[in-house]
Amino acid sequence: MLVEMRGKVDSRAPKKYEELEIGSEFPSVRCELTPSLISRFEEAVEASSHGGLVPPLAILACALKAASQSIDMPPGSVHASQKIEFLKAVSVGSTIDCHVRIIKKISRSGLRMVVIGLETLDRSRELVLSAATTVVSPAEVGISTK
Amino acid sequence: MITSESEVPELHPGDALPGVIRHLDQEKINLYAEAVGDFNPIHVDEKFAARTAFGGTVAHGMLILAYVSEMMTQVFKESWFSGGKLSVRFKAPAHSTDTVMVSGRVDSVKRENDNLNFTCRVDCHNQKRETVVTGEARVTVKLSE
Repeated sequence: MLVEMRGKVDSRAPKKYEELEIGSEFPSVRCELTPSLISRFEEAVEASSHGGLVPPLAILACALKAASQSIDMPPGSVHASQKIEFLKAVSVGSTIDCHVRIIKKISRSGLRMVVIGLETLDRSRELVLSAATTVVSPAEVGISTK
Repeated sequence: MITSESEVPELHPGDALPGVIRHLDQEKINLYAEAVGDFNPIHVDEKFAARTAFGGTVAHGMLILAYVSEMMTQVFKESWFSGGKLSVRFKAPAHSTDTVMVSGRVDSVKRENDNLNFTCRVDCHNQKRETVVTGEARVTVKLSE
């Protein structure tokens, strides 16, 4: 598994859609980007290694894993859109802190979407990645789980 | 990332980026799920996924974006890691039996002081030419003096 969560993880259960408040932030989650974890990621995405640097999408995967610790994403949830900005290259072996907040909730005509803000910082507190992820829960994409 | 001008990709508006083609299968999706710890049943549980509107398992959106990122990395190297932006919409699922073709095209190249700013359109299609992902990528390449 890419992310081994450590540090300030909220012990409460992930919040359901109804409990999410716009602007609310969750405890940061620390991730260690070990060589073996990054190697597994690169194998999974069929990417070549990049001179000891962590693939940017691996950092985003860490941030999303952190988000899943705080936000209940029902089975069958899917991504609707993604914005990402890569600000600083990170070396394999680094430790990053992932911050998660709720940007927007949309519930209309059976639609239920959450826009999640993600930021990761390195140990020198410099911003590594900033992202906004829009997740749609199953009912909104017409999924029947019966 | 400071890049000497000789290392900057020679790209002009209208130029195509070298595409990336990936053949999906359930094993690859499972491998990604294990690598990132995302075991949402829509990706890994064929019985669950068969009962959904998708009719079967679909790849993680982030797996498809990793293919897009690979294309951008091949062209822009480390500049993508520290000066890349991606804004995309997921238009259709990538099924576990799909072939995903990532393509890109340069929309604009603008020099701003010591930066060279590339804007590219990026798309992913499946083997039926259906759009899976569409959007825009921007890269700032910092030039050395």
